[in-house]
Amino acid sequence: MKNGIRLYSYRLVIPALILYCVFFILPTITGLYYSFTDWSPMNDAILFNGLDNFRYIFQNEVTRLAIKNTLIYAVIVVIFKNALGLLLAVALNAGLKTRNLLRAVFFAPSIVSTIVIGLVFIPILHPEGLLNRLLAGIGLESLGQYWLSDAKIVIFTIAGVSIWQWAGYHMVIYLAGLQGISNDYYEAAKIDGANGFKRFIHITIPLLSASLNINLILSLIGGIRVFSEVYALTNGGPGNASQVLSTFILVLFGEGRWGLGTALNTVLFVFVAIVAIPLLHKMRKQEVEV
Amino acid sequence: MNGWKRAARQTAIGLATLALLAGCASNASTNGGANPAEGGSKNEGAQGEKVTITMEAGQAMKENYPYAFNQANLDEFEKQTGIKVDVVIDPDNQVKNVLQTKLTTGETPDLIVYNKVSAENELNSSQNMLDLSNEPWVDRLSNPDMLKAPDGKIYGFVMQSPLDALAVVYNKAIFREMGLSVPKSYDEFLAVCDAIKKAGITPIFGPFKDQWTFQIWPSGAFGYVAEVEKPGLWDQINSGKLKFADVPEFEDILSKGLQLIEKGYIPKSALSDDYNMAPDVFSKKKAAMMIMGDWFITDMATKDPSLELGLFPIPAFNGKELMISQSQIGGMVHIPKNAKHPEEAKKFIDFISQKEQMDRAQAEQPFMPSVKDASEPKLTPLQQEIYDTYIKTNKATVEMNAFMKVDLTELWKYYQDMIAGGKTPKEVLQAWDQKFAELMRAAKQPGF
Repeated sequence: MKNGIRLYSYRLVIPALILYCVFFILPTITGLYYSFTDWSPMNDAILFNGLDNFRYIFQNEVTRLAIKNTLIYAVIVVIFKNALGLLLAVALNAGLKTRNLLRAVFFAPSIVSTIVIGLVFIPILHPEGLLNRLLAGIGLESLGQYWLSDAKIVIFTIAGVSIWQWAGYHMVIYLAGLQGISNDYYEAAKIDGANGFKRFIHITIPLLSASLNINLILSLIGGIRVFSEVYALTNGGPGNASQVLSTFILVLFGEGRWGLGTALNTVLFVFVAIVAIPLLHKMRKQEVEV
Repeated sequence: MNGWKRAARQTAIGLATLALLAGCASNASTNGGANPAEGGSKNEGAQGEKVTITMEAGQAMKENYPYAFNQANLDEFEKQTGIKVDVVIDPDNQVKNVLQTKLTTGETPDLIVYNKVSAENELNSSQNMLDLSNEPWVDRLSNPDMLKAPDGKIYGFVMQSPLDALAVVYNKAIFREMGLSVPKSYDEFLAVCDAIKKAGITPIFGPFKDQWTFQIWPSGAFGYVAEVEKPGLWDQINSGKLKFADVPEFEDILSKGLQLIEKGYIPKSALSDDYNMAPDVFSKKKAAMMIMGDWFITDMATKDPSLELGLFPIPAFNGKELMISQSQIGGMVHIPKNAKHPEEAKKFIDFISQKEQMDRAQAEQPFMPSVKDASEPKLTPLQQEIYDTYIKTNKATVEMNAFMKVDLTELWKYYQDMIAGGKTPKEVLQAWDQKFAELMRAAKQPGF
């Protein structure tokens, strides 16, 4: 470092670090503490109650359903947001005349507030709403559903709306990645006789791994922490059929069972960490290999 | 030297960050708006200058019980006492959380308008609110027992005596055209529904996407059972001696409600329909009835005056005299223990309890006054009908919700489950017994 570039001192991170500690680390730690207590507006004192909250969470029918719904939602959303996003990106990376317009159109839903999207989709998904009428209009009446009130399909409907909203967002990240791939590779492969599909698998995908990783991580974490989509469309209903972890945390807080709500929040936190950290680690390795 | 410079630069950055934060903080307190007179107001008050007290409530509270919020009264209060009342309205789906948080942190408003039983369960009135049992207006109440909490104390004041009715709202014109009369039993009700359905009109509109709607049917009928047939039922249930699933009438009432959907009298799309759709449905005569209450008729009188709506008691029984059902005392004005200006708040409550203010609020929307010395109200025809037909003749019972000590939202979700086909009536009651015990334990109620 004798003649090297003079770096700024690490002390410069202190202001940011203080903010991070006060507004993130501290609440997380106190949250961890409260998740082992019976914290509630009805109690005068906050008492330690060991693992009671966690025992309740894993024995309760609704929390188990919420965990199941969260997983279903996350898996569907990760697969389809990325598949569609990638497909759109590849299509709109080609020399279409209207590609700039189309890019804007597909990206547009992601800048609209989810609450607004919820309010727009509720009438569309009503049994006598636009979607079912459209299906009936083209002779597919039998495919009509009680989209948001049939307990069996409601979580899939919500995932579908979310995919509609966010596929364009992931498309943009893929597009950025695609534009970083030099055309030389494709030309060389073409000369060697590789067809379009092979070029996609052996050139596009590996060179896109950075965008792929960030998209997978973003959609996965977003999927596990899903709240606003469910809140806006069904608020966990009908009954508890579309309850996910985040909405059920809100329910528990609403019931005044703050300790229990915090404990469920801790579960969610651990959940995200368990899934995301190894994934991130593994993907980083892959990037280096390429 | 360099080290000094660097240190100085870093300090400057640090200070800038702090200044930024401080800027945020001071902005927040001036823009917050909830307590504009905070800070210096105490001293000013002592000097006889203007004090501002805040009154906080949810949006629906102000719409359903506008009496305490009457602007003419607030203005008059300010003119007479120099105390300004600042009304803070919270969104309905957040008011509970907002107030719980404020009460816990001690940053409370001076007045909270909340439904009586809900406040006892959700805001812990006995712990968080001032005991007003010895206030001067208590002696002037026509029915002080009505305002007493389970511990016998009075934690708030209401201007109105209940005049509401949870009932079946029906379109009188449709009934007249089809030659139908108001049903007096469940079987007659089914016959009426059947006739309307055959005429191509939806018999009952069910806005069951909103959790609070279907519950009107069981809650009203459960209240009837407890009050007329099994006195003491709620005490037994609230002390853990009896379970909901052990009351056969409850299961029967739920089954009868469910049957309305199974027979197609309430459309299958009910779980996708919400209360906001009801005015349109009724205006266009798409449906003839709804299990709801008097407020819908009052609301529709302004939205579509051509519509002729009436109401009749929830017909969940055969061979019994049907009664309308009334809800808990709504719009009760409480004073939190941590209020900044409790004396001024007490003054305000005493002020609105006086005849002049009662009469002035009547001009905006008539109500039955809660104190003895106020003028006789000029009731609307609907209110008069409810009063003459049901309240004067003792054909009114109080719905189950008024007797519950815990939040009922989970039970309402089980009803939705039942409508969606996920639970039988029996299973709903069993699941609720379990949840009820949990909530009662969390609320530290004896017997659980």
